[in-house]
Amino acid sequence: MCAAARDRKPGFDSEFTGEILKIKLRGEIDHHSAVAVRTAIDDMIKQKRPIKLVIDMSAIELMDSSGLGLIMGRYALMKELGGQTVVLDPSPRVEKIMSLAGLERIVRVEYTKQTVENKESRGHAERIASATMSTNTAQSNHKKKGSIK
Amino acid sequence: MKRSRFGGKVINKMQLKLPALSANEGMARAAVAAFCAQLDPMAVEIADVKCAVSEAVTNCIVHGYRDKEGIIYITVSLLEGRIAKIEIKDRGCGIEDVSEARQPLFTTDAAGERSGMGFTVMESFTDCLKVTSRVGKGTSIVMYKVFGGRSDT
Repeated sequence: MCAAARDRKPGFDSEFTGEILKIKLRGEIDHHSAVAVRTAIDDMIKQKRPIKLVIDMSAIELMDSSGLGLIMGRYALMKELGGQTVVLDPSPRVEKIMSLAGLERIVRVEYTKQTVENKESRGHAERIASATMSTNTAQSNHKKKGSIK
Repeated sequence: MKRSRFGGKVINKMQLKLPALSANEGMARAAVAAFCAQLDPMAVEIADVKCAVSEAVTNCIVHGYRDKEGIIYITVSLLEGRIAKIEIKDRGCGIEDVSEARQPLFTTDAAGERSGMGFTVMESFTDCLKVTSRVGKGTSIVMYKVFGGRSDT
């Protein structure tokens, strides 16, 4: 299997420490992979009985609304068991999909320090790009006006 | 007569038939994305298309054919003006009330694993979405994506 295909293979890594179960989802989360991983995650939840489930989304390459169902199903199970669910480091695209469903009002979203720094530097770069475009447009318009006799 | 924004000339076209198996969802996304690459899209625009295609194809499998055998018909037309017209059809059970089905969070799935956000995500990531359906005959989804930026180098 080539490296690209291996990277796209869906799945997850798990870590259980101090009653917190951390699930790091990998690859593409779609209907096909969600069906594959949800049972495995549920089995771990029922076995470990964590007080908190952290769904780390930093390694996801693509997610459609099946990912929402995946989060919502695990949130429902954790709630039934009296536990909390947190979504960690969703990408801007995943955040957008979550916000379409209003999911961020139900499931807590957290970011690691590195993600916060990346978001800030991305926002800074976007502001510079926007300011540069505005300057270039203004200069271009000024030149056009200057050339009219 | 006002010309439709999406009425441009077809410069290229591809058709694909896939069995309605969840294992083919990735293939559908990849095939449509690869074909749209000719229009020099930005990475974020292609990611939008892949997401929308994923939703449509999943609808065919989960709702159209209810996880039974069936064929998904995908047609991608590349139009003048860097526009992709993506049609995804099934000959499954059809939708009784399309307006209701398009409402966010509406789902007929009783198991609680479907979010009911498929159409909302398709609408959010494309420039135009048309859904037609007949009960017992099937459903057709047509999405348009206008590629406006330059591709990433």
